[in-house]
Amino acid sequence: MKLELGKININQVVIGTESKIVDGTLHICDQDIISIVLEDDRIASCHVEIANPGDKTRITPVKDVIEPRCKVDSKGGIFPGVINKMDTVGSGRTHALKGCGIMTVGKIVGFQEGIVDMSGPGAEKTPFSKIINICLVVEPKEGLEPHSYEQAVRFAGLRVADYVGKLGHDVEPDEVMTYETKPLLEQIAEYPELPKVGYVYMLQTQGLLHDTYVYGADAKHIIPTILYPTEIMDGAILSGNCVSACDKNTTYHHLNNPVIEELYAKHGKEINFMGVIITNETVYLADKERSSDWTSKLAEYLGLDGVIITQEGFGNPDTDLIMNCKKIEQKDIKTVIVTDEYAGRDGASQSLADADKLADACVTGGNANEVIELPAMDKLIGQLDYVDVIAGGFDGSLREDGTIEVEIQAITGATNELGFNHMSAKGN
Amino acid sequence: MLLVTNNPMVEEKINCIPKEYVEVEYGEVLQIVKQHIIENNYVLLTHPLSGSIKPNETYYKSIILDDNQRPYTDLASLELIEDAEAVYDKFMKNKMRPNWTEKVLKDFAYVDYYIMRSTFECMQMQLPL
Amino acid sequence: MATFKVVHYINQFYAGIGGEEKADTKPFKEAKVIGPGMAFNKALGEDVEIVGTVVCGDSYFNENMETVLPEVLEMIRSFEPDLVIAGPAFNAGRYGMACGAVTAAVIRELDIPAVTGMYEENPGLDIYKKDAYIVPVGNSAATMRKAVPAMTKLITKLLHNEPVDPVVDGYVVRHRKNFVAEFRGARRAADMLVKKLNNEAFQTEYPMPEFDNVDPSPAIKDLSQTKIALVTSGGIVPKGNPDHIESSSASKYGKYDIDGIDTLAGTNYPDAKAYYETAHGGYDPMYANQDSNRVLPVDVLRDMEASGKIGELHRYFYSTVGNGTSVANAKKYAAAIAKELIADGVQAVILTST
Repeated sequence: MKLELGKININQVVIGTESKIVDGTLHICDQDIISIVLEDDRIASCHVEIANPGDKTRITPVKDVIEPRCKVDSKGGIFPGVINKMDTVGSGRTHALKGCGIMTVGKIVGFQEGIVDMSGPGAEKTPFSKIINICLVVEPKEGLEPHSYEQAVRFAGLRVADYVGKLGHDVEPDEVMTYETKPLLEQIAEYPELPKVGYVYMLQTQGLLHDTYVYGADAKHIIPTILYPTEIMDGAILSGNCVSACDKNTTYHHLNNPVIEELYAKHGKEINFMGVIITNETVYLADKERSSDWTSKLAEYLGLDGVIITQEGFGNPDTDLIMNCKKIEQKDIKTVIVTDEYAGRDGASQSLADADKLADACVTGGNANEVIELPAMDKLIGQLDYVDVIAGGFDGSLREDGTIEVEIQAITGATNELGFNHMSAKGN
Repeated sequence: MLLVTNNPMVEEKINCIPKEYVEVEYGEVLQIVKQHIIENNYVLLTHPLSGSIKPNETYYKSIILDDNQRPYTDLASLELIEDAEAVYDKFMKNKMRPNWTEKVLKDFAYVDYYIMRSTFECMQMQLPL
Repeated sequence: MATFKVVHYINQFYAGIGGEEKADTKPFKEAKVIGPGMAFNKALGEDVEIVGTVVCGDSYFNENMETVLPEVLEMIRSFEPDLVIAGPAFNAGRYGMACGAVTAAVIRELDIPAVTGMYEENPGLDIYKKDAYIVPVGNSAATMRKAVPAMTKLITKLLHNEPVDPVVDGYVVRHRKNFVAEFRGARRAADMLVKKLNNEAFQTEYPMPEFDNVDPSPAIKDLSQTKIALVTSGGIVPKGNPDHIESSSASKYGKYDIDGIDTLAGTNYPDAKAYYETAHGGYDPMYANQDSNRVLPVDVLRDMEASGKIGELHRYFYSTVGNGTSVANAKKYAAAIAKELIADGVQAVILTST
């Protein structure tokens, strides 16, 4: 499967009466976007706001971020099985609007977390301070149950991303990358001398506010399976995860999965990148056993020599991570795991809920309990009164001068477990 | 099977499984489950840290056990519950849970209930143990 | 005059006052170098001078921690030091606790660096490592010559305010700290995997905690044919503690004959043949002293023996105190006990803790 990914750099986003892309400027008609959001009658109101890098703006609570993309000259569409009709994606050509994102904002439950600061110390912790965010601030109809509201907001973000992405259909990209993974036997034959490497991609699937969708299917009900890496670049995997702001994988992270990018960068040189095994993170322990049996079985079946395993979330998923690692290592397949840590504010507590000596190669996204002081901002998108009660916030952590003292776990994407960021942690 | 919970919404809405409803705090739910594992040789069916909401945030915890009589303690279950207790202690030591509003408590109850409900769906699709 | 001033904390033994019999020495200070301070003073060079030594007996320190620690801090403060050295304590448990407490408190209260040295199994290490700079050293004073340069390297860097790292500078990891790495995590993971695949050296970013797990033995098929022994770290001993097992950091274990003893009587029993108690100093001894079966269930096992449920209760029980006892000593006692039990034909052991 071969995908040409055309990157269109967006330098500016302007709200106006027309939607188009001209010379790196994305013009959007907010009324069009609002009506797309309001197609769902579960949503009462929506307004659109733009947040630029460097702005003295705070956005919270952030639910999801989506990079606008579209398929070009292709029968399928982006986000198959959800926004566009079911079809295998990952081949042909895709255009991506780089440097911007559709950000869904709004409180789904009272404790929902997720801060993005566009400047200041908090901005250094989140990748989303570096892109222009088109924020959809969404309010539900009264009495709507959280699961229904989560679904409505998720779909609204995806519809808008699909709409904005299509504006790039006829635009000449600034850069085109080509990614290719061949069918198994051909791929093995292409670089027979290189070690065969796979990627075990764990998806958050514990239940409400903790879900992930694959081609529209709820991933908690899947058994681990194999994807071409390029399918993920076309939106085969979507986030329905609203909790654990620092280490949740937004749809933006899935579309731009850094492990896939880095393994492609070494593909044909140091390794032979064979593909992606997706698996889930369940609550029922028998499901965990089955899923980790299957990831190790598939890794063996594909003849892999090594895998990278990434995680999403905290606590329960640590158990899946270690089970996957152990069972794959026991098949003599080498592993590197990517996780983050909850080592306490002083950094002196045990970092993971589960551990094993076979997990001897570990990359960390940092200690999520580290405390940070976020200065007051000039502008707020969303609702600040909930900062007091988000994860890592204190009682009264929102001071009168607008400063907030929080653990970095409240910041969207801060300790990402796909290895999206440069942050790490070490013994001191 | 036995569902141990301190969540009134689970107590009210989930009725297809025997329940032990306990009006205690999250950490004490873990203790009660640990007692079942040690004294009655029950086996954990769900992960004690279900949900990625931290134990110093949510108040509610529901855990499903297999209550079939076994001759000895299931060590894997014991290890999981002890690890969960360690995580709970770590988080509570790090920072106490805030005083939540009624609305937030209800939302926490709802999420715990919904996770149990969908877990139950997963379990029912499979053969009983 | 030297650029940097250092204060040295030591116990009564290293101050040349005496051993265990002088462990109740109250804290005092002297404006001079004493004992191992000489070696440090020499190793640290002309730039650094040990301007004072604070001495305290180990028992006195540990038994009066709350009052003695501020006192010791005040004595240290009076020399206006740039850094404090404590010990090294090697594998001495109470000395390790004192050195750990002093270094941690100096860093916290006086806001200057403080360094100590301990053997890896010193109980003071785990308790104070999160704050104190602890350099791993050998398990006895015989290794002093190695300990001094190892500690000196770190001390020199800290005095010059240079960044330190546990791997480079050889001290125990204090806590985890976030930093910004050169490459993003996914790149680091891919690089690490390539190294691992090529069998090259790589460094994990999070070393897994070490577990000393023991796989459970297979289940015993027929208890009625099994000879069972009782072993405890709960400190149960015949009344009077004939072997003088210490209430903490035990240096020995005891072996006690229970031939003809049906119960480990305590103060709850009016007319017993023999009385027992606990030597353990780490828990409230009242319940164990009332009835020692509560820690070591000889009474229940005698019943089981009589009813044929178990084959036989071994004639001796073994006991030590687990309170602050080093892992190395515990392993040593266990190996010796296991050897005797096997020689005596014991097939199973019930281990009780507290």
